[in-house]
Amino acid sequence: MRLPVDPRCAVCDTLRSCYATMMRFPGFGVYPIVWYFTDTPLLPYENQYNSHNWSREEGWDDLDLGTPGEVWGAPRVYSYGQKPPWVTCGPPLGSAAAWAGLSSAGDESFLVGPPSSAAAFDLGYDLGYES
Amino acid sequence: MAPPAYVRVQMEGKIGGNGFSEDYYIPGGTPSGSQAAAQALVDARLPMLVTQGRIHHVRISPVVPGARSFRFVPTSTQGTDIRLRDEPNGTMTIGAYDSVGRGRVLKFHGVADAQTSYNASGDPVNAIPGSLSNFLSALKAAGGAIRELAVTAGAARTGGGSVISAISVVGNTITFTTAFPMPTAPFKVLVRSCRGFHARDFNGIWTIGGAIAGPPAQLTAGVTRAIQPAAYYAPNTGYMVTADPTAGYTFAPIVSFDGTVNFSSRKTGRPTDAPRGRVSSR
Repeated sequence: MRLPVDPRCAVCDTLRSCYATMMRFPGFGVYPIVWYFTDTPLLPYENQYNSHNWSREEGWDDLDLGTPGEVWGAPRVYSYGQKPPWVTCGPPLGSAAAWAGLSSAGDESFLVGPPSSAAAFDLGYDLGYES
Repeated sequence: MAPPAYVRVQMEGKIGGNGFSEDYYIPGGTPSGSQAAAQALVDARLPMLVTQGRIHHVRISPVVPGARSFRFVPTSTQGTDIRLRDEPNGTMTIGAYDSVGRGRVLKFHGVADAQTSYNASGDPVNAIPGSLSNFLSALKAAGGAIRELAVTAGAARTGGGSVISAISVVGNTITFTTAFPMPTAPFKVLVRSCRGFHARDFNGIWTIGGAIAGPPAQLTAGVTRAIQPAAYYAPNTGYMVTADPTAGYTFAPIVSFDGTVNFSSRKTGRPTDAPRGRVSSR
């Protein structure tokens, strides 16, 4: 899976609890993501791929405008917040333009997650479900 | 001249094990370009915050759906008021007003216990502390504003704009007749205050779709909930406002504040820099 950005553990937003949802990436489309806790420095760019927890207003979840980032109205499933095992920490990948949502996967892209990550998402991996 | 674009400055703070956030709106172009102005607000805010409190992150973002954000850690994060803190939910409040008197209550967490006190008569000791005066001056100097809905319900209530003159239901389609200022369909409207026989069935959010005929505008929506077959709408009693996320907000600069402070409470939550994961049930 090639996406225009890869945080590689950089802090993209601050959350009280984590969740899984869908994000839209220019040149790629909609892809499942999961928020997890990390203690690394803040992402040094303006960030299009932030959490709607801090910006959601009444009515905004009712109409997806097709903008990059979290998909408005997409399901949000609680996640325990553990770092997925396929994530490698390091300097974030993607230019400032890519993090601003102005550059697409066609311009620059990075391998993110194992090929089976979408399937793992569907199976509820790392979402905090208790068996 | 076009009005300045505004950004929301969200200060994320904590007092002991309790977290809080405060929002302020200032003119700004890009989120990262507003960092210096946001830092100045934090600098003015810290003298009002007890030393047990911190503002650990600041988030800047325009108030539009899907906007970019920028985060930074302030150059100084710890409060500088050395007095003992009030309980975490306690807030000091003051009203802020625009040029036509519309207001917003500003709530400040992490103030000193001695500040939020009452005299022997049980009245709040409500003198404005110097640190608050300084912060309000800094907010005003930064162009601090009050956020308002772009489409005002007030126009509807005074007989203009979005009063609904008629409502009809045919089959699975409900039609509202109004002079509503319309975005491009589809969009959502919030219908309120309908009177008549079972007219409350018409209230609520409706998704307007398809072409809009008019004037006066004929806004049609699919019937998505039960409406009493004999329901009757008394003309011009209800009104609608947009629930359209693209309509956005307007911002009115703050020109004045209340002359006194009051005390209130606003429940704090878990801070965003707390230990990770859920608390074990065992």
